[in-house]
Amino acid sequence: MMVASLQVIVDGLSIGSTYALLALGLSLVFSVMGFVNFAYGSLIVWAGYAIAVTDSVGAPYALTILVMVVFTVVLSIAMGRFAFRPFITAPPATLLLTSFGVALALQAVAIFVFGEAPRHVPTPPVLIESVSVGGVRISLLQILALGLSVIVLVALNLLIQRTTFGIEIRAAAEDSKAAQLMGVRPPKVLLVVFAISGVVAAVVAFVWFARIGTVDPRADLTPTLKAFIAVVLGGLGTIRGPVIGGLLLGLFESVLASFLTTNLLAFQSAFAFGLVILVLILRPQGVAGRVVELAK
Amino acid sequence: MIELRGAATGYGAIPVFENMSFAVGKGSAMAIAGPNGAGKTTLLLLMAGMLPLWRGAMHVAGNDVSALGAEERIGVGVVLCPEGRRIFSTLTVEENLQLGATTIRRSLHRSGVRRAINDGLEQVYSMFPILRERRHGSGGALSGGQQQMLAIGRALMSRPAVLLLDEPSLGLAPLIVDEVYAHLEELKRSGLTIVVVEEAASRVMSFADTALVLRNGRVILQGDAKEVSEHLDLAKAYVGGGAG
Repeated sequence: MMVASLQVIVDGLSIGSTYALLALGLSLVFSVMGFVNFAYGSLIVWAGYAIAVTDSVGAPYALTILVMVVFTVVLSIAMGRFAFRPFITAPPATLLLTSFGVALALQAVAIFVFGEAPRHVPTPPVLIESVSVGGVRISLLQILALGLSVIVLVALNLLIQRTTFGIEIRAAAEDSKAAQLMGVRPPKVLLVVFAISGVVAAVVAFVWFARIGTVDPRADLTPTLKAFIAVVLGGLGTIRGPVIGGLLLGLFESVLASFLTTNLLAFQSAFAFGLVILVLILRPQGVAGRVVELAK
Repeated sequence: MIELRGAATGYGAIPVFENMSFAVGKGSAMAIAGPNGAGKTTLLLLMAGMLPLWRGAMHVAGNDVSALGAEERIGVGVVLCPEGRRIFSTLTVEENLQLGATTIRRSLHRSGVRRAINDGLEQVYSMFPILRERRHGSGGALSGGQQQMLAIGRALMSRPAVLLLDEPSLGLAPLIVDEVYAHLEELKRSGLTIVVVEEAASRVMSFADTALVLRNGRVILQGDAKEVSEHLDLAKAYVGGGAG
């Protein structure tokens, strides 16, 4: 029983840490631009294709990951520059709709270029082989997922809390017009935030595809929804909120996976959304968030 | 120091004023008064580069700055303390001040930046000791008067030549208003050029050297602050107020 519950916690924290990063990438753009970027999952999908395509020309794994990181950050910056920056003064609802458009467009291009069929995304076996530590099975990937999340979180927290650029980001997030009066350049802040969000997406994509091993054009929905659920659970407007929400979602799924019978497990997402509905009714600002509007 | 010639601006296609001209000399202060909706804030936003100049020109220290945006206007020494102070509550008091030095940070080299910012902080803290005491607390936790001091201090961090203030006495107790104006007096004596917008004209008129009274985007009175003030009092006595 002890080992079983430890296993549930280890599994939950490792997947939860990935959700935490996903949610953080989403909430970062939200806090500065005031809208939920539904094209965020498209970054993950295209990162998957970047690994698959680089691998198909015979590149070693480390190189495929490097190419993927660069590609994802560039794609994220391009998204910010061409899809969102032109609307920087528009109401957030406009940006929210734009993000749906971007998600659909990126999906259509993926279908056109790669077809509907799932593609294999390679992973070195050493990453996913489990070893037993005192009866608890754990893989190198799970340790990496946790470790990378901690590194990204600490780095991001330092950047936002301890640097002058972090001051500019927080100021622009709170009151963009007043920040401009202090000499802050909102378009530049936007691009940097998209770049950071791209780095976070690339880290998530590495862990994500090492775990599931395939990518298809419609795979953007799952990461976007996971991020969204985590953000709703934990709350928007803080760094802490999405992280707590992501970990909670991971633990919740892990607990469900250990208790539910196989035929009920198919409804795992339904249970997760049930939890979201519950949280929205009981504590709409999330477990650790501030009160915000979806398009503020 | 700062001069507008035939300036016109507005929002979208709707003009707020069509032909605005005035000049404020170095180390002197101009008051802009007038009822709500007269175009006072618009005038300050125009000078701060937040609104485009449709026609006319703006000069600072003899240089044409008409085409410059908000950030570059700070670079040439024009900074605005916005209406309602707009203190960042998610930043500490000191971070609010550091944000004020954003353009300094870009214009100087690394070693010079630290010194310039430390000098700036020291100057602001010696002027407003309460800000030093509260420097690690949230900017949102300050009282209204302290927030106005912070807003002025934040603007000073960019080493301005011209300070624009939008309703600095709004919502403050009379005693605190006097304190704010005492500090503005001090800044003026040190050579800063100041333009103050106030809806309640009485206090600002005794501070300012020159004054401008706006109504519906037009200048209805312009000149020496004392004379303008007397005209306003007369207007109030005979017409029952309304001119500000």
